[in-house]
Amino acid sequence: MTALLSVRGLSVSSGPLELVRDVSFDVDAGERVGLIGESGSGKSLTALAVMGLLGEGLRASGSVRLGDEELLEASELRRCQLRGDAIAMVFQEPMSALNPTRRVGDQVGETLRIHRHLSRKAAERAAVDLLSRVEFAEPERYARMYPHELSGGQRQRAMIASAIACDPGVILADEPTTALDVTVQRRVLELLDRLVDEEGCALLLIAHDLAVVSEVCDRVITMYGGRLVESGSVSQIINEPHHPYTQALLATSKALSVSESSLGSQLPSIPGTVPSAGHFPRGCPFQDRCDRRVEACQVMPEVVETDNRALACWNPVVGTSASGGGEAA
Amino acid sequence: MSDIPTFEVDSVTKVYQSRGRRGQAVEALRDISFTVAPGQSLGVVGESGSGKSTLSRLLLALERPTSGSVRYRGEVISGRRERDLRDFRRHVQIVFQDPMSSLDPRMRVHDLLAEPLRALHIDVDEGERVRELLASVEMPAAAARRYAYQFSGGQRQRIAIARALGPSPEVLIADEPVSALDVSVRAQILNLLTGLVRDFNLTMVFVSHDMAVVRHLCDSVVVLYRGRLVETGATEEVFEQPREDYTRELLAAAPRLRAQRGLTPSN
Repeated sequence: MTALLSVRGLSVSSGPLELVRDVSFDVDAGERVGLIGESGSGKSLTALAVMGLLGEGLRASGSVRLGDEELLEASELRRCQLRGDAIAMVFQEPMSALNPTRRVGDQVGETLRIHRHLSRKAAERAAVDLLSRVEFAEPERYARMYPHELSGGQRQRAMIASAIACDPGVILADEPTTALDVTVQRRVLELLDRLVDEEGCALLLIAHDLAVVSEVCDRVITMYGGRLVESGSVSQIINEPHHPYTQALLATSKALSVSESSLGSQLPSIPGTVPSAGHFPRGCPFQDRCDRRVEACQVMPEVVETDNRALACWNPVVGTSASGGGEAA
Repeated sequence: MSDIPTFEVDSVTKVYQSRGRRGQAVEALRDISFTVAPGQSLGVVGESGSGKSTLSRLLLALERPTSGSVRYRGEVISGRRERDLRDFRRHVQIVFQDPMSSLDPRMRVHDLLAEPLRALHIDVDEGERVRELLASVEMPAAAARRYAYQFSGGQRQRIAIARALGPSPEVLIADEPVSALDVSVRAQILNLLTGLVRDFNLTMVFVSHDMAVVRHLCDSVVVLYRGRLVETGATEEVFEQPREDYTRELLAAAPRLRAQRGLTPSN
C-alpha cells in the first residue's frame, strides 16, 4: 500500500540557494508524524511546498504525491481544488491567517461553499456544526463574531474547524499551539489527536518542542539546515536518538522538565546559533555545532534507512547510555 | 544580608478604566500580596490575562496600583515622581521577551549598552564598561561596533541582558525572556541567567508561562489566575504538592517528554 502523503527528494530553492534539500518522508492515513527543528531548519517551507503555497521566488522540485496524484506537476487550478479539500493546513498565527473583516462562521463555511458548492445558508449551518465539533460551547453566537472578538485558543480552534470542513485526508499543522497558553495548547492538541482517531486522516505536526511531539505523534522527523537528518518512531527517537542534533535537543528537553527539579544546574546546550539561510557549512549543516564532528562531515552523508528509521550522519550516537528514555508513559 | 524585603507587594489591586462613555473597568489584579527577599529568584506564572505583565509594570513603577502599595527596600515606589525614582531605576532593570523589538535596530551595540549609563548619569569609562558587559554575556568586544539587527535572536537577547546589567542593578525583572528563542539557544540563555544571578548576587523576578523553565530557574513561585494570586510558595513544594486545582491544571497541561505517545498526564 502506498502512503497517503509521500514526499520524495523534495527541494525548495530561492534562486541558487537551496533552503530545503532532498527531503523524503511518508505520512499514512491515521498516522501522526511530528516534524521538529529550529527556525531556519526548513520545516515550514517543507509544509508550504506540500501545500503549494510557496511565496514568490521559491521553487519546489522533487516529488510530492497525494495518493496517486503528483502535486508538484499539478496545475494551479487543480491545486486549488485539492487545497482545503483533500489537504488542509493549520497555521501558527490564527490572527494573521484569518481575515479580520469577515465573520468567523463565513470563513469556516467558505471552504464548503468553494469545494462543496453549498449555498450561503447551508454553509452557515455547516459552519455552526463545525464550530461545535471543535468544542465551541455556543457555536451560533461565535459564528457571528469577528476574529478579534475571539481569544487565541478560540481563533486556533476556528481555524481547525475551517481546515477539517471538507474532511481532508491530510492535515498539516505548523506550530499550531506555539502562540497559546499551556492549558489551551493541551485542548488544541487533544482536538487534533481526536480528529485523527475519528477521521483517520494523516497529520503532519510541525513543532519545535520535542515534548509536544512525543505526546501526540507516532513518528518523528528531525530537520536541520534544510535537511532531514533523522527520523524514526517516537520511542526510537526518545530512547535512542542517533543523530547528535536530535540527541542534543532531547538532552535539553529532558533537563528542562516540569516534573523534575534541576534548579540552578547547567543545562545541556548546543554551542553557537542556527546560521541564517545560505550560511550553513558545506557538507553536514550541523558540523560546526556538533561535538562528534569528523573529517567526513565536510561531505553531506546520505540518508540511510534501516529498521524503520532514517539517519544522515557520519558519526552517529550509538548505544542508549546517552539517554534514559522519556518519562514513563 | 538585610532583613528588609527587596519587594513588598501589599494588597495591590489594579483596575484599568477604559475611556469612552461606557467606561468599562477591567480589574487586572485583585488584592495581591507577596514579598521578594534579597537574592531570591521568584517565578511569576500564569496564562494570558492573568495579570503577569501588569504585575511586572507595577514592580517597575511604570504603573501605580489602584489600591494597595508596592515597596522597594521598605520605601513605597508607586506614585513617586520620576526624579525621585532615579536610584530605583538604577537598581531595578528589565529584560523583555522579544529582543527583535526591544532593541533599536538602528543603534550600534555600543550605544545600546551605553544609553542607560548616560540616562542614569552613571560616571564610567563607556568603552571599558561596554567591553565588560559584553564579556559578562559571553560576547566578543568587537560586537560593540555592529548593529543589533546583525545578530541572531539569542545573541540579541544577550545584548538585552548586558544592557540591563549596565547600571549594576540589584534586581532583574525578566518578562518571558526565552520564549521567543530557539530551543538550542534557550538553554544557553537560561545557563547565562543562572550564572549572572549567582555571580552578581541578583534578585530576580522571572515572569513566564513556561512551568518547566520556572522550575529550573526559580526558588519560589507565585501563581496568578485572572488577576488573583492562586498559590505561592517554594517552587519545590508548589510543583510537588500543589494545593490549588488551578496549579494542578497548569502542571498537568505542561507537555512532558514521553517514549510512547499519549496526552493524558502520567501522574
